[in-house]
Amino acid sequence: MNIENTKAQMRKGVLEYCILSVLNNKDLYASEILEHLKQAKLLVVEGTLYPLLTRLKNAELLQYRWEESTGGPPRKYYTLTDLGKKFLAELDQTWNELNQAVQQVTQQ
Amino acid sequence: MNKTININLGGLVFYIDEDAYQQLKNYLSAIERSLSSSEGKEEIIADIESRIAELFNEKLKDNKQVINQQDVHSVIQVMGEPEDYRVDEEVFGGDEKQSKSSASSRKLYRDTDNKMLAGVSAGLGHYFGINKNWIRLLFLAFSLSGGFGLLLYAILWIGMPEAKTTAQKLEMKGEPINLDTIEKKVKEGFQSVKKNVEEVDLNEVGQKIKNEGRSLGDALSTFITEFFGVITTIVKGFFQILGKLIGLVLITVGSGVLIALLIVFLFMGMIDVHLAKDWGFIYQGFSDYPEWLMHLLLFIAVGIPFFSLLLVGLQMVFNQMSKLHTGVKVGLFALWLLSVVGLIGMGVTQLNSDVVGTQQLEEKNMVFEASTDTLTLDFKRDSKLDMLWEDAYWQDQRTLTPGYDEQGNEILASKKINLSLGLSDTAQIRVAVAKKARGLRYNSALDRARAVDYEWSLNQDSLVLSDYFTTPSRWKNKGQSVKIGLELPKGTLVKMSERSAEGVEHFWQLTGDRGQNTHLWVVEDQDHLRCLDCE
Repeated sequence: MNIENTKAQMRKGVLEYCILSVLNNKDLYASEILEHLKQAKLLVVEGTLYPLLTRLKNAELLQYRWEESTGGPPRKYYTLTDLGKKFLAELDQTWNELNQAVQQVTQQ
Repeated sequence: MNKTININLGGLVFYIDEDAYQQLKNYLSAIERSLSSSEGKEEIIADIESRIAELFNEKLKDNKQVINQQDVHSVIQVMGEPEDYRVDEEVFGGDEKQSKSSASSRKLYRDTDNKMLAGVSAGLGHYFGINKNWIRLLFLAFSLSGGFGLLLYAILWIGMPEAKTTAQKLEMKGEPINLDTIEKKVKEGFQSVKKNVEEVDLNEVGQKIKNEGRSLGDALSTFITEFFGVITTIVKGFFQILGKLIGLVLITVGSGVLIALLIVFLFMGMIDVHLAKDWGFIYQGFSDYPEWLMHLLLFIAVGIPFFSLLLVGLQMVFNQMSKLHTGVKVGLFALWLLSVVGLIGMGVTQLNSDVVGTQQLEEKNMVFEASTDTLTLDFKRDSKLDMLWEDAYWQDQRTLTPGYDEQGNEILASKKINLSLGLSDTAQIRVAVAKKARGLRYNSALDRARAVDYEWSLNQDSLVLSDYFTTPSRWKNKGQSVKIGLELPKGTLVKMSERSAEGVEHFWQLTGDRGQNTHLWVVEDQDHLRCLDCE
C-alpha cells in the first residue's frame, strides 16, 4: 500500500465535485479553475485537469463557450448545465453525509 | 547558435529552439499515448496545447522571443508527467489497461534516478519491463562466474546514454516490446497508411471526380496503393523482429567467443607462470617470440572482430545504443590490422628460419688394443635435467630451459641426440660428433650449429659422453640436434656403470640381465653390446 497513491486517490476522488462547485458561482476558463484548485492544494500538476473537464463535458454536466483574450489564445469558458447543477446538488448532499460519517467514525 | 522552428500552438505562433521543439513534441505524444483510451482525446490535447501556449506566452515577456528547452522543461513541471494524466483515468474508472496505450516502443537509457551503480540495470528493467533487481541479480551471477557480467556491464555503461531530459525518461519508460505491441505497431502502420491513402484520395482523386467521375480504375489503384502500403508495413515489422533476433544471435556469438578467448588468454598465462615457478623452467613453444606476445596478438586479432560483432548485435537489439566514436573505431581497426600483420610476420619468419640445415663436425681417433684394453664408457646424465624431463608434459619436444650458463645467459637444454655404434675395421676408436642446426641461410645455420654446446671427451681408455646438449636460448627450435657416431673394433671390451647402461639402452641393444652394478660388455655388432659378467 503506497501512501502517496492513497493520498492522490483521495484528492482525485473529490476533484470532480470541487470543479463543479467552483463553477457553480462563476463561469471560468481552465487556468482560473486551476488557480482555485492549486490554492487549495487539491492539484499538484495541471495536466490532470484537462481529461477531467472533457469527461465532465462529455457527461453533459458542463458546457463551454469560446472567448477571445488579449494577447493569448482564445479561452474556453466552462459553465454548469442544468444537469450539472442537479448533479452538484446531489454531490453536495452526499459530501455532507460522507463528511459527517467520516468525522463520526474517525473521532470515536 | 540554435536553429529555431516556427510552431502553431493553440492558434498562436511561437519560435522555438529545435531541441526544445523535439522535447515538446515527445512530451505531447507521450500524453497522447497515455490518453489513448479516453474519449475526446483530441479535445483534451487541444486544451493542453492551448494551456501550454498560455504558459509560453507568459514566458515571452521582457523582449524574450524564443522558447528554449528550459521553458519547455518548466512547462512540463507545471503540467505534470504523462503518468499524471493517466492515473486520473484509473481513479475514475477509465480503461484500466494502461499498457494498451498506443505507439512507440521503449528506448534504452540508463535510469540514473534508480541507480545502484550507473543505472544500467534499472534502464534494462524499464526496457524489458522486468524488475530491475532481477537484472542486477543476473549481472551479479555472470560477474561471479567468470567476470563476464562486469565486462558486459562496462560495455552497456559506455553504450547506453543516460536519460537526462523528461522526454528521454518518458521514452525510457514507454512500452515493453512484446508480441502485443508489435502487433499493435503493425496495426498502427496499417491505419496510418490507410489515412495517408485516404488523404491522397481526397486531394487527387477528388479532383478527378469533379472532372470525369470516379472510375473503377481509381478505386483499383487506391486499393493497390493501400494494399502495398500494408504489405510494406508488415514486412517492415517482420524485418524489425528478424533484426532483433539476428542481433541476439550476434550478441551470443560475440560475447561467447570473447569469454572463451578471455579465459584461454588468462589461464594460459597462469599455467606458464605456475610451471615456471614450480619446476623452474618455461615451456619453449615453436616460436622465437615470447609466448605472451603471441597470445596477445592472437587475442586481439580474433577478439576485435567478435567484439564488433557484439556491438553490432547490441545496436540491433537496442536501437538506442550510441555508436562508437569514429576515432575509437579507427583505432580498433588499426590495432586489429597490426596484430594480424604481426602474426603473419611471425609466421613467415618462423617458417623461413628452417630453410637450410647444416652441421659442425668434431672428430677424434685413438689407437686401441681391442683384445686387451677395456674402454670405460661414461654416459653422463644430469640428474636435475632428468627430473625436469620426467615432469614435462611435452617430452617429445625435448627442449627445456634449465637455467643459466657461466655468463648468466639463459640456456636451453635438449635431448635431441642420437648415439650410433658402428664396427671399426681398424684397431682404432673413432668418435665423430655432428652438431646440427637449421637457419634461413647457410651462415646463420652454421652459427647455430657452432653454438650447440655438447660435452664429450676421449682420452686414454675412457670415453665421456652426455645425454643432452645446451644452446643459447635465443635460438629456440632451430632444428638443433647432436649425432654421435662411435666406431669400435669388434670384440672391444666396454665397462659401463648401471646408470650409463640405462642411458645407452635408448640407442643400442644390450643383451644380458645387468642388475644394479657396473658390468663388462663386449661389442658384438652394430648397435649391439653383450654382457660378459651379468647374472
